[in-house]
Amino acid sequence: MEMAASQEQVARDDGGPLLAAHGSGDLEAFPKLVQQYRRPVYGYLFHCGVPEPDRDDLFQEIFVRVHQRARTYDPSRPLHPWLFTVVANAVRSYFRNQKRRLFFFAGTPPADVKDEAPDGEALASARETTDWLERAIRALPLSQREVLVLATLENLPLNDIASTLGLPVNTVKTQLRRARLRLIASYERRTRATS
Amino acid sequence: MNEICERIREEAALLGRAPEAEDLREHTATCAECSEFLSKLAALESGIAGLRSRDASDELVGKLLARPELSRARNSHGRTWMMSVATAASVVLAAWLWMRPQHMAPPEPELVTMDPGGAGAGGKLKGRSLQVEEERKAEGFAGSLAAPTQLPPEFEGDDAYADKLQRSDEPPKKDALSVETVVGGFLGDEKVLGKRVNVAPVYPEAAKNARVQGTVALELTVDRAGEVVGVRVLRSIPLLDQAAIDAVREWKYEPSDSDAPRVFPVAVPFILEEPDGDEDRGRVEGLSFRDAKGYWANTYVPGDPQLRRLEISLRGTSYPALHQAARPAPLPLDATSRGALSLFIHADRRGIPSKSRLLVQVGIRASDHHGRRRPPMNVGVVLDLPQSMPQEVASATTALLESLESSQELGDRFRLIVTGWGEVLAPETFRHGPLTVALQNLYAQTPSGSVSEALALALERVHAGDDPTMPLGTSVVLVVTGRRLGDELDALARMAQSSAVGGVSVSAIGVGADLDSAELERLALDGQGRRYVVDRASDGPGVIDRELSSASRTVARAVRLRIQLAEGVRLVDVLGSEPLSARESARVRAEERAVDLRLARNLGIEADRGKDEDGIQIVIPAFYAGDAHSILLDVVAEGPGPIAEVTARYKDLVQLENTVSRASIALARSDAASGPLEIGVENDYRELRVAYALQAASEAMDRGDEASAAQTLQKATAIALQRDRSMLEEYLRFLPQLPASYLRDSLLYASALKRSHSAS
Repeated sequence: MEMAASQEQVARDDGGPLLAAHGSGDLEAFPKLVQQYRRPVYGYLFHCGVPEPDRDDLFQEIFVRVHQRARTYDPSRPLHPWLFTVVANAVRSYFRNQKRRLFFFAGTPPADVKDEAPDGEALASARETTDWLERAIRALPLSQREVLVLATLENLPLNDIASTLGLPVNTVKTQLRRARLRLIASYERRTRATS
Repeated sequence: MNEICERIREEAALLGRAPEAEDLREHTATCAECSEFLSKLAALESGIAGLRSRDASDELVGKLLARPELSRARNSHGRTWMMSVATAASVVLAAWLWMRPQHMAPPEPELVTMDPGGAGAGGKLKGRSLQVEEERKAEGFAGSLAAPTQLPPEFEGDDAYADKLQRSDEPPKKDALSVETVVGGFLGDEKVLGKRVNVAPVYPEAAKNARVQGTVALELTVDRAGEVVGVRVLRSIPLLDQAAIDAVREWKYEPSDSDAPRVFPVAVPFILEEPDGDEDRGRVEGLSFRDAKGYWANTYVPGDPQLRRLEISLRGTSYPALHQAARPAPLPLDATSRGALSLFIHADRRGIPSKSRLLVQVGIRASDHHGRRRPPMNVGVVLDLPQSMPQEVASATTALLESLESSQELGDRFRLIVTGWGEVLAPETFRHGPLTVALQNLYAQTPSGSVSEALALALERVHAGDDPTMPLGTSVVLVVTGRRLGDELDALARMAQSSAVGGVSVSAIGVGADLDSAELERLALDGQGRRYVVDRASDGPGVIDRELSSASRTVARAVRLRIQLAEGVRLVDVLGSEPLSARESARVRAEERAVDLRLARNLGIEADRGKDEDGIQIVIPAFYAGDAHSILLDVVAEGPGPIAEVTARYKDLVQLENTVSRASIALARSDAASGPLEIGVENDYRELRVAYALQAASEAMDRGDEASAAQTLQKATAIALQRDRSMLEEYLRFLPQLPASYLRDSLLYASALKRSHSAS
């Protein structure tokens, strides 16, 4: 974890200049930026419960959007919150559209059915702690999920989370608190069930 | 647990670790509960820290980097160089080039020879700009003002760019046509721009009458306070200039830190409203056609949950219910006397004299009643009781479950899942004795737990509990709850919705008095099920009876419509639908085949799917009794003769057989007046158009863009049927008066209502 955190730190320090370089025409900058952010962005999509194969599409969309909006980025500010605003909005609108899509064009059921309700075999393997935890995080409401993922997996400070998600800091705190309490509650149930 | 424990929990949950305040630490040292809580928290945090980090595959990243949208930076070699020699005007151009769609040509060498500031430069630049504009037209970007999303809305607020303009010795060139391209479409997004006050221009009557439209480009000078202190016309349209200037003089921007005035170009588009949104209908030339093949999206949404949810939220207000006028006329289609579905195909006229544009309507009508004895049911009951339970709740729960038990018939598979305990009774043990024992245990020591986990388990078991003797369409999950669902509601509703789409509906039964009926409603709506409240033991049997008989409304499954156009008939569009991507098609096919095989196994309806067919394919997973649905195709026929044929292949759950229905249409050479069927098609089309307009207006209200909502509605009045027109006019009248959120919901509801045909 220590290492992962320090790697992310590097990404955070370097990303801004890269995007700025990309803006001023450096051809290598954008691919480098993608390499640095692929893991955090993909991880965010995963932990926020965007199902395969939409996850891959959304991943691409996000970077295309970053590319298109590079000019709105102010190089004097850290890139991480800016980029994650794009990511978080993409995830929110994905889930929103998913609803709307169901509403008007219910041709195909949502792809996440399988993710949310695994078959017997998958359920058996989900007993493993990390799988269980991933599932538990994905079962949180999106408002809690996004805050939790940014706070724990991305190690963003609360103020940055608030500006990233466009929420008041107190709301972020509430959501984070609720997310953890809820995870602990399901953790308790699980330990009871397996003991 | 006392107040300090509570505080420790709150703080620790926020921090993800034990709080450090002295008094709290002292307390933790002595409180077993708190230290247990903290150790769980620590376990959780270390679990989260240990989560595998997920990464995109190299293949995915490779795909991303190969995307054409991203190649823009790679073929812009001229750009960086150009910046160094550019005059002020070419800064505008360069900035535009930087953002131009990637498939446009890179800057041409002639710019290299440009003399900075020289008179000749202007000429060359102008030539270049015009050329760019021509390319833009050729590439179909001429409409980019109408589609502002193509353009960077943030440009106008780009201070760096404004600074560059300001620092230049020369005033910006008047001929910088690219200004329009750069700033066009900025009006939509005030937030990015730092514009505080936007005033829309008033379209001058003279220009309207002369049908003059276009975009006036202006250069604004804005002072420190954000007031517009200077306006210069960069691109003039004589009849429109003054109106544009009058409007921008009212605009206000965010104050700036610097005393230097900000100077930047803006574009003020004037777009004429179409006199009739329908004028394109008769056009047969210059159309682009779509392939009349492959899988298209299904537009039939039975028991639309969002519709019902909106209805309830709208009912809770005292504003005028404008949406109530949106009920669509019933489709004039008769139900079949035998079998599950009837199929129709009509056009909007009886005959055509020559090459014509037509509307073809494919209609499906389900029989009204299932008509059979209740089929064996696959039911999962999720029981979620409060910790301290009043006696009435216990007795009502007992009565409910006992009546479920006693209504069990041969082949039924009932199971009981209890929150916090998991599956307590499997189908084999769902009998009077074990049920009584289980309930006694439950009342003695009610477990606590997450109802969403229990629901997940129930859904998994019910979805999987597909015994070979079980027909489909009769599986249901009942959530029986005696408490408020609170935080878990969102997750529950989501699962219920997924499940309903997959064919297993979810109903909610509230027991006792400490309930939130809105929560139950929401759950039942999303699950396409029903909602009941039971507060007396005697209510139980009735509820169970209704639930079991209503769960099997499906009369047809795996309905595959195949629409083939005759030779010489070309497809302009399938209204409201869209072709599915290869991936989506594969998903639809896989589901269809799965249903095919399962029905073959379960009901002995032979499997008959597997081959791809020609024509437009639309797969409807399940069709419900009493419903009707229509699909409208916009086509061009070369002349009289056969137009189209539709085939519906489906699993008839009334007759338990594979059924294939066919219908076709051919038009004679005539100009005969329309009969009721043809008028029905025309009306169906007009209603659909109104539905789109309502939806677009709802989306505009959601963005807070009242003006474009009004414009959309206004446009739709031209095509609407009389009663819809009065509804639209009412909306227009109330638009400025009612809260935007109410209007948004009301418009969306009206739109959805318009599309949900009931059968006549």
